[in-house]
Amino acid sequence: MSAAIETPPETPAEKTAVLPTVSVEEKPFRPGMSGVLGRGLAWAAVAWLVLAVPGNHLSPFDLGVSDVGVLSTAAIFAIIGLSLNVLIGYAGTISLGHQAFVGIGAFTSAFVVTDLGMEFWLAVPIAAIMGGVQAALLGAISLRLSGLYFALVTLAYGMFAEESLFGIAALTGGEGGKAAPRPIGFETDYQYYYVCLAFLALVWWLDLRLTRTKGGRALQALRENPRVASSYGINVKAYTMLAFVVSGVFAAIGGSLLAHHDEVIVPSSFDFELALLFVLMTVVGGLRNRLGVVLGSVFFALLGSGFLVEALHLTGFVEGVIGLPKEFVALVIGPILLLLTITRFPGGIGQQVAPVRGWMLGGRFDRHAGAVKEIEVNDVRA
Amino acid sequence: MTIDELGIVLVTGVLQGSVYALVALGIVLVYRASGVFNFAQAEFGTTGLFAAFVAVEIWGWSYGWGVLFGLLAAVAMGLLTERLVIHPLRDASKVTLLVGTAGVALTAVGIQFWQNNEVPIRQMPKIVEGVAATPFGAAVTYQQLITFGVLCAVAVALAVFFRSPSGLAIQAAQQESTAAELVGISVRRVSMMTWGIAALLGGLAGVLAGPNTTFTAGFLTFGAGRALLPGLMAAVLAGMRSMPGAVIGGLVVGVVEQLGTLSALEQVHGAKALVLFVFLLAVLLLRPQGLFVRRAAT
Amino acid sequence: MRVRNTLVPAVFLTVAALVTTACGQKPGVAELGIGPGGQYYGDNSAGVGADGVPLDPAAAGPDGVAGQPAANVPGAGGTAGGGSAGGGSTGGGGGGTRPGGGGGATPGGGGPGDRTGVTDTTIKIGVHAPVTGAAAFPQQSFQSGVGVWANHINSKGGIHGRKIEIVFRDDRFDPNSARGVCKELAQQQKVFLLIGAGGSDQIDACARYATSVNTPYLSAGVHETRPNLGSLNALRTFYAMSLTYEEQVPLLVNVAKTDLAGKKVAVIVADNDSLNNFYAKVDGAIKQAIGANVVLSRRIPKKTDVDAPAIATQICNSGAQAVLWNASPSGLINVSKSMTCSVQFFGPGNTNGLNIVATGGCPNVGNALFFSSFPGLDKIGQMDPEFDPAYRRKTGAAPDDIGIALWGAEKLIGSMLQAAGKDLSREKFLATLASGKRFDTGVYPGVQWSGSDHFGGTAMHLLRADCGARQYRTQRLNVAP
Repeated sequence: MSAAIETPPETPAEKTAVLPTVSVEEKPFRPGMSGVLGRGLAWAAVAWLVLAVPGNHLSPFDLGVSDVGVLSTAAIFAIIGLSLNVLIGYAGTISLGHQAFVGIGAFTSAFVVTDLGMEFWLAVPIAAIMGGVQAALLGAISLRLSGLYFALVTLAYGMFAEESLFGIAALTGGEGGKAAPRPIGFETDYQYYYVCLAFLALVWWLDLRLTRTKGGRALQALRENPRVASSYGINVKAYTMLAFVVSGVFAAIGGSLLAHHDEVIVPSSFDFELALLFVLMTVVGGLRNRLGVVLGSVFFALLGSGFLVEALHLTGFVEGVIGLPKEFVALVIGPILLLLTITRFPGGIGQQVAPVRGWMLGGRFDRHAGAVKEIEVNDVRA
Repeated sequence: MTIDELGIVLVTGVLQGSVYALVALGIVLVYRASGVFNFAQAEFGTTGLFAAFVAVEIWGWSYGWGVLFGLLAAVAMGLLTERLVIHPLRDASKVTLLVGTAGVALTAVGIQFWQNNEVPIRQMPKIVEGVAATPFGAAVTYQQLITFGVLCAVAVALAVFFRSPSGLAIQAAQQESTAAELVGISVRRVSMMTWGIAALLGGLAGVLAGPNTTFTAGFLTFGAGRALLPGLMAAVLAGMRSMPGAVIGGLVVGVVEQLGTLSALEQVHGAKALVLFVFLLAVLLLRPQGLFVRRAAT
Repeated sequence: MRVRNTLVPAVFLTVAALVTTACGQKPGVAELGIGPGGQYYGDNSAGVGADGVPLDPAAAGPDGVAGQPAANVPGAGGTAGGGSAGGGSTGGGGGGTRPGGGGGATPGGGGPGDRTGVTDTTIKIGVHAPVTGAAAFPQQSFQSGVGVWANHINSKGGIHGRKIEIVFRDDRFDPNSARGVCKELAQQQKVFLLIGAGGSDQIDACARYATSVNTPYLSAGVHETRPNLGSLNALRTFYAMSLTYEEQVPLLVNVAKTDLAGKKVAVIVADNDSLNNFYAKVDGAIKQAIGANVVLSRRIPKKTDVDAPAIATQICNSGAQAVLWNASPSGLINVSKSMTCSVQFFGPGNTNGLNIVATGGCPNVGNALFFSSFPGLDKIGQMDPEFDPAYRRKTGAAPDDIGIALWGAEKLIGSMLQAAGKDLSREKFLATLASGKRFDTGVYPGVQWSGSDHFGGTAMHLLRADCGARQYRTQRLNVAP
């Protein structure tokens, strides 16, 4: 909190406000002409990759509908990763039942569109509200428990949702699933990709706002030292609850998009393994590092679908040299990456890309930017 | 709901609960040593089971040696986990450690899926085939009785062990690590020892529960013999610290879960998951310090 | 911070400038890219209309609308729309990224028709089955078995001069995932038709999807209908190559009356909602046939493994001597293993009659009688001497029964492609299936469909588990209802 007090509110706080940054009065680094051009080209490349290539505009690649579908999934996973990042990264509370958060959004949205006959554009906010409500209910319970016990509750909650809640055929359509048509004008995978991308941008922006508001700074203070924070008058429970609701809303938006991406949503998709995958991609991405979490989620989405292996022409390598059928790549490689991340590279992907990110934002190319000594998942209440 | 039905619930629940209790014991041990909810505990069992299976069914070893090999594999996995994941993260937060153990479990599951795909449904022969008794009409196999017996033996052995010098050293190191170092106890070795014993308990759960049903990758974690969540619940009932509590907790969770099979709940989807969830919430909200402990443990 | 504030807008301006310049230079590129993609569903329903009219207008209309709520994805409702112009671009719609390729040229060539997946020299076919996931079949079996018949026929010159090319995808035993891989196969790989090789929920999901994109879909018979989603028979492009579960009910009753005469029977059916209809029928029929000899009849949870002991206890306590079983193979193995009594299992095909079940379930599943759409390893040599050498030629290993299943399916579909003639299109292929012609290749029992009956199986083979050999032996061939 002390950091927050010394920093004027209008200065955008970096991810972890470190005290010395306040006194920085050195000459600001300004890139030269060639620097600006280089950075401009880099930005153009990114924009081209994200905006143009998936639509097969100006692109030497020829992406098929399923390839673009996988990219939409990647954007959706990124939203879910940001959702989990709020819980694990900001509130220090691990959720092992996040498939339930996502599933509730998915089924709400499918129900609203198919059974109530409303528009997709209405279904997403309704799903988001439902997601927020269920997260609030779970949060109300969690406030009485310390972090590890809460992890256990989420685990049981996920199983309960998967087996009991999503089994109610009247709401979920039973095992055959429920239809979730796409919005008019965005029926094709090429068009729907941009819907997912737009929602990712929205969630990113909301997340950015969250970290820069009073609530965000309070969460940060909480994570760093809950006792000190509460002695400054920060309402620990209220802000933890805020994190829950935000996470629930993000997850439900992701779920809603997922439902309409798949067009038919089936209860059995939301199993415990999915919850573990969500944790995996968030942590490997780099907690509290927005860009890292997004890249991590995208990476796992592409890995899981086999897209990455095929796009990089690695099928021969993994099947021939390692003897690993490509169907199993994600199952085996993913967890190993997780272990490497938390033991060797605690900043995750976010740390790896930090130098590039800093450079693209106009700073010097600093190889040591974003170094994180360990993943601090400080448990607010432990 | 007849008396017979309740009888079946009780018998099946206690026998199923013995596996949970073995898992819970390992979880409690690890929690006392490293302060982490060990999500890899059940995977120690599955790994041990697969190793025993490979030795017995594929390499043609005798059953005893095969089981021993399985247990050794489990212990090796436990020690590796401690060396490669837990030790490097010793200063990290508890939640990080939890993610680490989950990563260990997932890695093991991934490798099992991959290595096991040619015959996805595996089976391990029982130690003694056949049914010992049928109280209330519930079939009680010799295998289940042996499991229950092993649980009792393990409980006694642990009780004795923790009164021996090494056991006391472990307890000392867990309670006051700095002080323990000062009096010459190697905290590092103690940590290794604890993880080794925990993995052995997990391995026992695996090789004993495996023959009851078919098994696939992740058998004890989310497969047919899933014991991770019940084991964690049992450990919670024990306040994460009490060893006798873990044993009783395992049996109680086993019985509570079987309540979900009552014909009254036949129409409810996922009745077992529902019953367990409600039970866990009730316990955590009403008695977060655990059922079988007097002092607050959290 | 100040640096960034000025830099970011600058960068965005640069990007915008670059993009606009590029677009300005080559306006055609962007349009080409977006056109077919944007038109995708519209094109498709146009195709539906186009082929629906010449074929069977009465059936095509209602099917597209009533039978397939899942297909009510935007645009699909426009069945009646779509003039010939729309039909012309259907082939392009198959993927949307290669305008002018594939079927785009077709209408000019010969009559309206969807020729996706067909070239002058090849026919592309997609197959999906679970090889990873909760109830996986051995990945190796599929890797080996898929394409054995295709290789065999290709070496003889193919079908009407076209080689068969098969693309296999793992559906992970998950309906969503199955739908995803079928989408990839249909729209990106642009296969001519799809084959579902296992897993009724995956077949259901994929079949419903395939109809929405006008792709023929063939699989062994599974359930006939599913609550909230309607009958599979209403799917215009779905054709079952063997008897459905429901159609096998009389066969099962017959087994209970003859092979198992006088035995007390328990009926055990999994609680998948797709089996509701089967359960209602079999429960009624068997009670009517053998009355009081039905001592237990219940649904059991899908994930049977954990509850296996309780179910086994209940069966034994009921005094049953035979169990009519329609639930998962792993459930069968586990329940039989947990039993204190000895019973004879019997049930519909196909998965419980696979040798992996005999390998795992023996001795407890000894003498189990399961129907199957393909014969056991003991009979295939007599019925089709070409199978064994062809299998060994492709894989270098001894065949298994999954290999027979795939061989039989490919061969049966091959005979349909043969019958559809040289000028192949999806419409023509489907019309050939619906023509009432009987297809019999000597592996699967004969099949015969009509425009209104897409469940074309006429008979099943009956397999008996031989625990001495740990495999299923063929008890009776071509048992007809």
